[in-house]
Amino acid sequence: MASPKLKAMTDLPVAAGLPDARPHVLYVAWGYPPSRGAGMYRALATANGFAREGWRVTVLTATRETFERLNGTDPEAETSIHPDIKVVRIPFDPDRGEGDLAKWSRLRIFSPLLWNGLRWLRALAGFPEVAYGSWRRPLAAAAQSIHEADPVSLVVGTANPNVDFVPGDHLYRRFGVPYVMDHRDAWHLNVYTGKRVGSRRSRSNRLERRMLDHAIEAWFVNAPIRDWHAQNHPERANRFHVVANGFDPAFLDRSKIEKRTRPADLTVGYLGTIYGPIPLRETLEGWRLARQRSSVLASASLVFRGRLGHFAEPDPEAAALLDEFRDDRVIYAGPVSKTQVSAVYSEFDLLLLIISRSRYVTSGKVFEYAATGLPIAALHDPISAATSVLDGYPSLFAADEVSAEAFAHAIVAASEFAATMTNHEILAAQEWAQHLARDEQLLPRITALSELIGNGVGA
Amino acid sequence: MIRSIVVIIGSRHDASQLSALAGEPSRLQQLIESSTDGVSVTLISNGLDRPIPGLAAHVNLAATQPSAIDRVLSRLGATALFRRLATFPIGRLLNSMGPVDAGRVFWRTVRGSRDAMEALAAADIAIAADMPAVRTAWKALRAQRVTEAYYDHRATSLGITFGIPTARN
Repeated sequence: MASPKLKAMTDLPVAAGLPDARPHVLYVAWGYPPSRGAGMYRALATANGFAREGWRVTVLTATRETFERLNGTDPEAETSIHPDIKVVRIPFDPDRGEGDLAKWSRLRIFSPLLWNGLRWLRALAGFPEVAYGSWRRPLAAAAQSIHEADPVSLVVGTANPNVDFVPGDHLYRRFGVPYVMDHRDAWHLNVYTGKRVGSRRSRSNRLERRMLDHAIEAWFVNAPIRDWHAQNHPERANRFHVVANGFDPAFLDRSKIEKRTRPADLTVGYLGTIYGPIPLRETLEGWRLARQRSSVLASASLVFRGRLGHFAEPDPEAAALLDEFRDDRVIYAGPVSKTQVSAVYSEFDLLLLIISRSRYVTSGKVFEYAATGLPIAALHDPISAATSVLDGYPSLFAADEVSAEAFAHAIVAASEFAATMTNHEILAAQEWAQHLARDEQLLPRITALSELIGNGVGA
Repeated sequence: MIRSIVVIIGSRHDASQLSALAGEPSRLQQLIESSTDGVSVTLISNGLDRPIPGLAAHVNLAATQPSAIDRVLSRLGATALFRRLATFPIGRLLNSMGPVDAGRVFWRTVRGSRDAMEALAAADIAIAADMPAVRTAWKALRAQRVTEAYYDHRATSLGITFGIPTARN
């Protein structure tokens, strides 16, 4: 529901030749559809949320070809962009990931390491972020062009990459446009170790501090990350908000899960990125133990769906580890388009929530898992931020520590529940999870910003 | 017209490390799938022992004798120095510019093999599937032995995640 002020503005007739009175948000996201990266869904939902609430939305992102080169694409996700959103795509580091050897310089052939090192040094001179710093100038120039053609009322940048904050900073300093910093991760907090990244006096720490000083709001995905930033910037803490991730109802047809016909053999599933910090080996060893201990699992399969690592090239270590457990009916069935997740979940009888140990890591999949209503074996350290998200979930079977033994115990308990669960129980769990929908997290902030901009903040 | 593609894998890694279980479709796969008249794929490798059905030919250089330059460099201790330098970042940077860099060694091996040079000359397109193969593919392009050359690490999935059709239905 749009705020009253904004509603009044959007109700104004837009006569031919008259400027559109609705506020204009410039949303900056490197990873926007058709990017296949995990952060893309938050970007997609946020921009769509602003459009639905009556804002004029321009998204500034990278060209489609960038994602084909670097991290893979999910073309179907592009069809989910709100039709009123204007998408401005600018090239990102065309040399990186270039496969055509006719375009490689002699220096790159002579020593790819030297060539890459020199490029990184040049990029760092522009912005203190390895691999993305070179995007600073094109982003600032594009943002200024957009603003000059159609004045921007608010900039929202979503990171990482942190260079996405540049347009907000640039338009604020040049034209006084307010901006929001949306941290999907954290710039100077290592969310896995809990330690500060770099020295407090480093160039990038100072830059973030300056940006936070002037941001109208900063968003964080969970309370522990927000609190860490509030401790470090106490004078700005009242502008820091939690905008948690959530599941996207548009991509998750829960009726498919509820009405599915359960086969005789259980299919245990994991859907998400499979990468280094998750306790994959403990999970696989726990799975092996669980199969030895429970007759329910004797003919069950464990199916992994998702990307192997964060890059286009699959992570060979994760692949080798999965392969090692092939004889235990462990199957890797490849990545899944977001538009296919309902079909994939409908094939699973219970889910393994495998996430890394950190009080700062929630993981995006916890919301989607809960939304399915399926039993969840939570295979992670209880310290994880995901623990509080699932607190109260009706069919949760959580391990009390990270070990093959504890994981086996949780898998057996969840499997035995899954073998007899009813559709009624699935529905009840789905209902419980309703508050975890992404819009429930985003709407309060969009509404608040509508009020602020409607009241002329930053004008 | 049937297009001829030569895939080059220059590293001496265990074959299992060169497998991609899934991911984006490779340039090689796209070329195969977009070809109306079919493709002929030849492989030049440095010891890949995985069976790959559908290959027109496989030139395996694992047993090829090192070039005279490489024998001399080895006697002078360059290979030992290379191993030592490979243990730290600046050393690896120096290695990448030196004469025993894997790409340079592999190119000299290819140049010394008549079968490999004939495979390059017969191809329309060269695809380097790993970094050590890049110099060879680039040299083939510069010498106009091939008309197109690409670096495509996903092509290491050759024979694992996709087959090689010889003609389209």
